[in-house]
Amino acid sequence: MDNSKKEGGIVQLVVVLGLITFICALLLGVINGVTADKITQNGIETRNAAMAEIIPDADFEDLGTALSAEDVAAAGVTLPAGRTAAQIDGVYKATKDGEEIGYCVQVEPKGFGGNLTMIVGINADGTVAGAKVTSHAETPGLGAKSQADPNWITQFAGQTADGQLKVAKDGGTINAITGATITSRAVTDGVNTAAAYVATLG
Amino acid sequence: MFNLPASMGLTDILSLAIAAILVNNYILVQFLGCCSFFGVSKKTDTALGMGMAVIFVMAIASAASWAVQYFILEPLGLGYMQTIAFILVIATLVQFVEMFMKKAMPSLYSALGIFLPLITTNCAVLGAAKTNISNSYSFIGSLVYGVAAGVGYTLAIVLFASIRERLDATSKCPKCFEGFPISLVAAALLAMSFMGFSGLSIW
Amino acid sequence: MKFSEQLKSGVILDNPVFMQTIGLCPTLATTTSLQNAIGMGAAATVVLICSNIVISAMRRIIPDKIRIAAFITIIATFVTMIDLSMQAFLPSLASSLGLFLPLIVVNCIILGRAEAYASKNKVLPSALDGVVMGLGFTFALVLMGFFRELLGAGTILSGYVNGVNGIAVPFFHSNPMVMMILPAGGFLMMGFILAAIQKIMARKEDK
Repeated sequence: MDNSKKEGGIVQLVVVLGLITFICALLLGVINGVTADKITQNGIETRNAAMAEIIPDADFEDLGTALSAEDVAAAGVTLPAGRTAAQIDGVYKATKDGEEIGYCVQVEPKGFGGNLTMIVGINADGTVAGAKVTSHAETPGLGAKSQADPNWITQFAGQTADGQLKVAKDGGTINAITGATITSRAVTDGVNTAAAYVATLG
Repeated sequence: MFNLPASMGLTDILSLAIAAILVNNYILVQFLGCCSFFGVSKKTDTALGMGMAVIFVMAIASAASWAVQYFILEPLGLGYMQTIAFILVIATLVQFVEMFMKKAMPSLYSALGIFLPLITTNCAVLGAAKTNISNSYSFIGSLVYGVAAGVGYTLAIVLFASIRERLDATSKCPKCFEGFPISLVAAALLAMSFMGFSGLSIW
Repeated sequence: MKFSEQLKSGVILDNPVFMQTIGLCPTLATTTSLQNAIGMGAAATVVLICSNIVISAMRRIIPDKIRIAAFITIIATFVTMIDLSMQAFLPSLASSLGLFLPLIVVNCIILGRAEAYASKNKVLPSALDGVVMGLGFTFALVLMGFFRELLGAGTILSGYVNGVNGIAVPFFHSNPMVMMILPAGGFLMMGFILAAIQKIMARKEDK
């Protein structure tokens, strides 16, 4: 046991605390330098893997699009009554052997626990190629199934990409996840936003 | 020069507040602030006192951490220092509030004072500060979110304290459930009833 | 005290979660699956060991008046280091732990051990104390995570084995009690585990 008095003057307090904070900040700077690139890289890899799964064997070209929800609505994207368009993070044109076969769109619809990030693929023939949730903060066991249950999200593939899909509760064809209607609506919003936005590209 | 989040409409802010109080209740849905939820819920009065102190600290912590994030960390590209900066801001704020209350509002200090040091390590406060940033709420939005999350915390802790008072006074339960376990089961029932709010949207 | 005794006391008799009932937020929030429980336990243990070592080594330099501020700075640094490393090298685990990874900073166990043990003891015992308390915390998380995942989803170790699906357990997998992985189930499971512990303790005392 060490019970020595550790009383110090104000100068000592400032110097010691300042030194500790300085060393800590320095350490964090180093760690950040090591990990920052890797973290950005992880995000890109997740996105690329999702796109390759939805539209296989294609080359993707980043169109450099990034639109807030308001900008998307202003671009002429209208969703079924009562639903609002989602933010678009990026649009990627898919080509195979130089021929345009569709688009992948990264959208962020608003779910139950915050925004979901998802990739939606739209085929050139006007159907949905598929969708994949890449990150979310939904309730484990309920809304989290939008990402964890691989069978649920596949129902979007093959649907008409007219931006008018609805969950069954709202009179549409999409089967909602049991107990997670809000998440299901959010994913549907994401698919609709992507579909309607791609339609405006012509 | 500063890249601030977009301002929010009144309906956005109101639905944000309702969601933070009922739908995403900090304790019963998000498990933020559970230590003090069980620690200071033996009596309704102390629970209410703790709740008030949390509302107060969360409001100023939300405002201060918002300013730190957008006026200091982001312009300097120090986003990765967020956790350390916020916890120090919160600890300092709590200390200041304590000193200020002692001098200026002794009656309030004698009511809330003992809870203030506990709040530094209450994860609800840091959780609110970080949620404000990750959901890019505006300044007003952050402030409202801080207060609303605190109100939700108070609602849960006061309800739970009144249940516990009854439990201690009247309950007959299996011997092995006596004390803490039966309180947890009561908390589970309370959490279940809050699940009824999920999906609630007014605006 | 011998290490084995210390281990027994930290993990079972004096378990931070079950016996001292501290660190409840992560215990309730992140135990929706065994994978999350192990991840959270490991991250908190690493932070606890590192912060105990550093705080113990600096215990003579840090003046009493600013010790809490100094402890918090040191802990927050380690937490951010773990947070960034996990985001870089274990991104899926980091995203499923979400907000609770940086919130290790305010885990009462870590600051509690810094204040109660590391600031008064030599480096080696402090490091051992970190290991023991960390294991105790992890043990509690794993117990909760195992039963919640088993009852709530009917799987074991989803995320590690078989990709996302994990090992499906017959009967439980076809009849999952989804409530167990919802917030209410966290409180309920904790209540039942504590009741079981009280029962076992009472039986031991009878003998």
